[in-house]
Amino acid sequence: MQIYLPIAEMSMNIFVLFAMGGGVGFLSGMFGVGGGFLMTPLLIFAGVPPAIAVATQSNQITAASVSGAMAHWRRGGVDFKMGFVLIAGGLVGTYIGAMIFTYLRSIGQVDLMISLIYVIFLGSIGGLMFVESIASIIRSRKGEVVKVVRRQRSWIDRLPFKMRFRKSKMYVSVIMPLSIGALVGILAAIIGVGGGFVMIPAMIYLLHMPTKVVIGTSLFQITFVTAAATYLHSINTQTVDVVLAVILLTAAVIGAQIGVRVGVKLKGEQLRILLAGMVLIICTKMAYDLVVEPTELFSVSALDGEAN
Amino acid sequence: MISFVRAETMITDLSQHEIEITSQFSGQELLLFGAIERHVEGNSLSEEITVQGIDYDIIVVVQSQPTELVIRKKENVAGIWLNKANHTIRDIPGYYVIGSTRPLNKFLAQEKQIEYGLGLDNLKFTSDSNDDITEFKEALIRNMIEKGLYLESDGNVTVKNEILFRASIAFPANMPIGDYKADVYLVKDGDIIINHRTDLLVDKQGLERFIYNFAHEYPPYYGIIAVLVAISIGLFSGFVAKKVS
Repeated sequence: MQIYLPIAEMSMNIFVLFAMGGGVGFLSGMFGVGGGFLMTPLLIFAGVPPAIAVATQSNQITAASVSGAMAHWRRGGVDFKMGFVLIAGGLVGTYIGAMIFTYLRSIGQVDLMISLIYVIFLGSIGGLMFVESIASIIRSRKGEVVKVVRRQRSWIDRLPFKMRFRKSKMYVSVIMPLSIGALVGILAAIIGVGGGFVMIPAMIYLLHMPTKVVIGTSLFQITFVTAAATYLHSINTQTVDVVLAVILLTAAVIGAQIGVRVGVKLKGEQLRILLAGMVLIICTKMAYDLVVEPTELFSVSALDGEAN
Repeated sequence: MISFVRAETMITDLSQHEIEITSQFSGQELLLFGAIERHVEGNSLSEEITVQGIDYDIIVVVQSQPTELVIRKKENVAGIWLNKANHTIRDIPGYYVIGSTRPLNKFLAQEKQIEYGLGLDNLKFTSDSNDDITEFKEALIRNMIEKGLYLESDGNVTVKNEILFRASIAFPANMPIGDYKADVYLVKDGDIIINHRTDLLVDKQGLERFIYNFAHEYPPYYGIIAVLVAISIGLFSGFVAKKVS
């Protein structure tokens, strides 16, 4: 059965969309990740114009993260003060990102930017994750115990404008969380991801936040930032396809519930290797498309649209 | 010596004058059909109007209103293929399908084809550049054919009993909305003797139309509603998931 998407102005098979949404939802439930970084490329590979894929993804991630944020909040897993600082940075970043996105779209470079950011960001994070989880598997086979290293004071502690975050039991400069938030906002607006894959490592390794509030606080920030991105894309480029978003997120919600149940049966390292492997496959495909001469060098688009 | 003045009239119509794009829309086919009438004046002898063999040819052209398209070319910059050179082509249809009884060159002179803008090679347009953009024009046509928006086919107009003709026209789901025109040309002895036009309107309908118009006319409200829809579905699913688990 075909369904016509009013904003994308194309007809797609509704079962294919359900399968995509459900599949990504399953993986995001299993790995505990947002899934935006899987869905955006998947939509583009399926023929959805990149700009529509990105903006619609922002809309979908809002839905996916709000329920997670609520769940963590009930368990006391959200540091609201830190969350608001991250959001403040995030909103500025989203605004800048949406402007960059509008400009890129007008010069037909949205695809290029998505590919480059994916290859660089996801490639390096996926690579690190892959190496790290293999190392930890080897360590656990040898029976070694990882020593907990007391964290060293670094340049981050010397930054000015310090603020106390009671929930996280931290006293740090707001410059760091503001910049992390802003970077995530820019990414959210340009490539249609939540940005958890950047924010969570940054919160753990740069801010040294306690793990129990990391995921909840990041989901809290992602909800607001992707909502802002959806709003700005709607205003700037009219590329948010609500019909596409609702179909994908309905399927994703169901998939995620199944994914969570499967995920608890797997070991942490195995999950991370699987996830890293998937990220690397997507990056390889994107990198390949960037460097290999395309069979069709030309692309046609409407004057204000992007190549599709 | 009695001279005969023969004249033809033609009537044409489309099986539908409006295409409605609804949520289940996945493209559509329309039938363009018509009849040729032959009149013989100044003579009442009926045998004079009988068979001359197939001396008529018919061309049908269906096209959307002129639009603006950008054609971009990828070039290799530092090992990466990216969009570089581009040209804006104006006054070009976003949908153009031409069909005929036989290959155009067999019955219509090149000059006539150019004059009437018949055939993909003779499409009329204006461009932003004075450079030679032949390569871009060819690529544009190639891309549009690939998308199913341009088509040139001879032999898809069938004529029955030398008076009735029909052609099936395919519209893909990604066709542009707006006013279309369907032209039928009757060609005899290398001359276009009749040109008849039928209008066609392509528009989104129902929810598709509402969503599209709302998004383009009230972007801030559309944005807010998109966010609210997402948040309510998200909260609702979280609620259901809690109940289920």
